[in-house]
Amino acid sequence: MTEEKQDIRSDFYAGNTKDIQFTIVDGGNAPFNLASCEINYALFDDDYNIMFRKSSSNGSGEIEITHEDGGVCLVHCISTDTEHLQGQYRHQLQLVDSNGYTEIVSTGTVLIHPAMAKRSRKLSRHSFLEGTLT
Amino acid sequence: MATFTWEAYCDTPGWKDISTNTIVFSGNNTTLTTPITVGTWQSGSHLGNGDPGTDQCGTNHVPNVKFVTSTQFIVGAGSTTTVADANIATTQCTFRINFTDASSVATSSARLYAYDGSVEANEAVGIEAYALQQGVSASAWTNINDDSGNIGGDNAGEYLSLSDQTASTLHTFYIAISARPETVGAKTQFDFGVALTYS
Repeated sequence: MTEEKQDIRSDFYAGNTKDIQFTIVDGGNAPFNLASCEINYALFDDDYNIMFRKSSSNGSGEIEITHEDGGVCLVHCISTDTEHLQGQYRHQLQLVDSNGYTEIVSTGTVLIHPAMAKRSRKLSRHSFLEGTLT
Repeated sequence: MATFTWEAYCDTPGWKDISTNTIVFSGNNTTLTTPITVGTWQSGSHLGNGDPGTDQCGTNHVPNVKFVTSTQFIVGAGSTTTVADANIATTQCTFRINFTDASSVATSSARLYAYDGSVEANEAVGIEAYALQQGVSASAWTNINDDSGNIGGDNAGEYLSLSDQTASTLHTFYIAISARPETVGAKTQFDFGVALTYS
């Protein structure tokens, strides 16, 4: 079943390294066993322009199943996924089970706040010159 | 871990890490110990191992880029030309600065400044210096140090703003520098700094 209105309205800033946790349930609201399942995630705007996609088929670095029996997975967002984003977006999580049955299991909105604080680095190099009158 | 690496195109020639070197401006394109006549621009750019120490350039010296007017320069042994990317190759710049990070990051507010080696807000005493970034369609030099004009240091309006760069694990800034003494004597309190923010 699709869990709608899985909204993220706070604590998400552009460029954050962020894990979004989903718990997938079946029609009886019991945890869905994720054994042999593929999970896909997308963040997109209101015009359906994709900002980024993640898939467990690309490895646990993108989507990690952390509790197979409990239906729990983490979508790993890295800094570059959202560094240029600001405002409201939408997201979807798709499940493909071991039989190939496909369903959007979660949808919602994501509000990304601008990040005003930035990391900084400085480094200097020594220089030399000598002045003369002639 | 984010890291800066400064490199000059010299020796074989090739890009050489200058992290242990002094950037030396001299009055001769092959001799780093030749002083510069006050009020005239450098004729040679070199790498030293002190103030100035001995020449560390190797077979080929660091390319020299000389200030002529705010919109003109002399690159190497060439003649006076207009400041433009077409008139200076990356390998003709005084040095380049690489900024690397294990993650793909974007850079902003990058800048190059000259200072007295101690306080980043202070200009280097007795020196006038101009800088430009190659590859960004610059059409003029930027004055980054002028002791007599109280210009220099990491202060808004007194540094060379470097281009914002989109996400990458490697960012490179190609820089040309020209400097001249305003007074007699060795200028040992003279450093260049680079700063940026990234995310």
